[in-house]
Amino acid sequence: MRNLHLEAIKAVFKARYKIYIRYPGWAILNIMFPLFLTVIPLLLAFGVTGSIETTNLIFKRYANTEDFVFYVLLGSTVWSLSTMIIWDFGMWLYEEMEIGTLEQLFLAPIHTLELLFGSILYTLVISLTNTIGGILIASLLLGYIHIILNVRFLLALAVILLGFIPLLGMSLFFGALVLKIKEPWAFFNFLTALLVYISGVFYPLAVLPPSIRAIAILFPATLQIADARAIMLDIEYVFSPEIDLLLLLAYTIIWPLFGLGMFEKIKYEARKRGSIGAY
Amino acid sequence: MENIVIETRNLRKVYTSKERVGLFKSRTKRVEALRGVSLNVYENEIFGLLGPNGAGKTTLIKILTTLLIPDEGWARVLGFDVVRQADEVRKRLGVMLMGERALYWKLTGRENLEFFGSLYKVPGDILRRRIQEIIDFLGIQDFVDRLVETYSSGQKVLLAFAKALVNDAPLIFLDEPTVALDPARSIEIRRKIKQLREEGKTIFLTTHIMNEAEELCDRVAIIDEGKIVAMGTPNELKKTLRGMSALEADLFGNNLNPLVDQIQRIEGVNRVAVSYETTERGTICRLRILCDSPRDVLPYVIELILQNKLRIHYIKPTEPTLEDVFLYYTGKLLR
Repeated sequence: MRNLHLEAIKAVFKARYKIYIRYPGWAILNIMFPLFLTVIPLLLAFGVTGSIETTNLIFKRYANTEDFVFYVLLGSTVWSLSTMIIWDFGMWLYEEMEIGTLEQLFLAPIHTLELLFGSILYTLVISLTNTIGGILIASLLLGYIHIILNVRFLLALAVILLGFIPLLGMSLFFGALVLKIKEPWAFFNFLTALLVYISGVFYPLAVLPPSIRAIAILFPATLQIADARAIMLDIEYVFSPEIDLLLLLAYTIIWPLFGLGMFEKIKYEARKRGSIGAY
Repeated sequence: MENIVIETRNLRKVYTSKERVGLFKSRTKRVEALRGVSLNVYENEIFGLLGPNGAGKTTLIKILTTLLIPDEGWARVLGFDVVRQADEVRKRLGVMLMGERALYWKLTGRENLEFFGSLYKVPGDILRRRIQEIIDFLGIQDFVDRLVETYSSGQKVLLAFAKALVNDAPLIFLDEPTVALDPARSIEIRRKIKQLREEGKTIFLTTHIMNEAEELCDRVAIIDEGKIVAMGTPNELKKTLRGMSALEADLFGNNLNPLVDQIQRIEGVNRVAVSYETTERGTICRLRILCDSPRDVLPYVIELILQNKLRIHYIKPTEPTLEDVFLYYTGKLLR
């Protein structure tokens, strides 16, 4: 594979960032989003049992933790970051198709990975800033700041960041689908719902039937969420710390190779059909 | 021997699309966009590709710029195969496609140039210097630091032109470079295109404007229904008309098709075509008649115009132009 150039990656990042800050409404809504996520577990707890204490007691039976709110808060935050990484590249390609600049990108001698890294760098900077800011504020408000300011948080963050690598592969795969099917929204909505369902964002994997659990583990965010919780709340890993880590490491190779292979194949087909830029 | 910059042999491209004919049924539609295109473009020439909409111009440009893969045949650009060595080709091309839709409207003109320049991996300081040179060269200082969304159509076209120069490529593709420009800007752009040729660049351009092709191009190719029907210098092509001349007439009316059929039957008339232009005074129909001797044909033509109760704005014999060459080979006018 030929060398990747930082200039091209930086250029994609800078262009996306500049366009982002020229729509101030986006920035405001993105900052508010993680705060909305923190409210969900609180309302769920009240809605189901009438109090957080009761919810925690019942929840312990499945999840081995009495910290329902933090459990869900962590899951929903990691999930929202993960889905941003999965969808953002494809959505960006779709926007480029709509405004007419996608052909211009493919006219340049730019590698797919340079486009991906530039795009993901932008997503990571925006979403990590917003999410970490949101988590800190929420943790202050809900009294979890001692958990956040703990060395375990850094370990969990490392697992989360490692999990982003296979998600880049998924992101390329979704980008390929955008080039192929052009109108990805129905698929996007379906898959988002499916991923929430199988990745244990709001509940432990133990409540899922074994067959669904087996499928869920193919999705790297499932491991990210479960292992971040395991580290921070001292509960069970999906298998064990070693096996989970090995699995996640395997995904860091399998998913990117699969995603890049699919993207290049579908891009070639689009060049053959003459459909690059058509939407 | 001159260096060949673009070489294509027997390029063919068929587009297939599915057309739905019911909830579960569909039929495949085939459009043959290129039917065996072979051409050479030489170093440091301005080569024009002329053709009506749907003739295959865009398909050919897309193949040469690596956006599209041909079904048959091959093309080499600057010695590199457009399919197998696409990246090597891309590094050496400046491309202006689709004009204003090729830009980011939420970035300034300069930011657009910086972005696209960076995709070609031009180091930052060299790129900034190069961009300033292009800005000065095209005289776009007045608006280049404004957001593109505030530009007029002409300004967007100028910026798209600037974008094609940002990587200092030896070969530049320009698709209808003056299409949205006012006459003064068009003249300016043509001057710049000539200047680029003087600097050693090779230019491949498409245009609908015959005067532009005649003024700019060292050689032109006429493409119609996916085939190159004529190729050469404008003078060589005009010589292929073998002494034919043209009659040009502007008439007021709506439908000249019956008249065109009648004129076509006059002895000595080779080709007749009509184009329509809506003006404040009504629809003007521009008639172009390619014939052996305008003097012999003119009385019959006037008689037929009057019989069809059409008003003549003017009618005059003219020297054959590239437009007549186009008419001769395609039976159509490009306007």
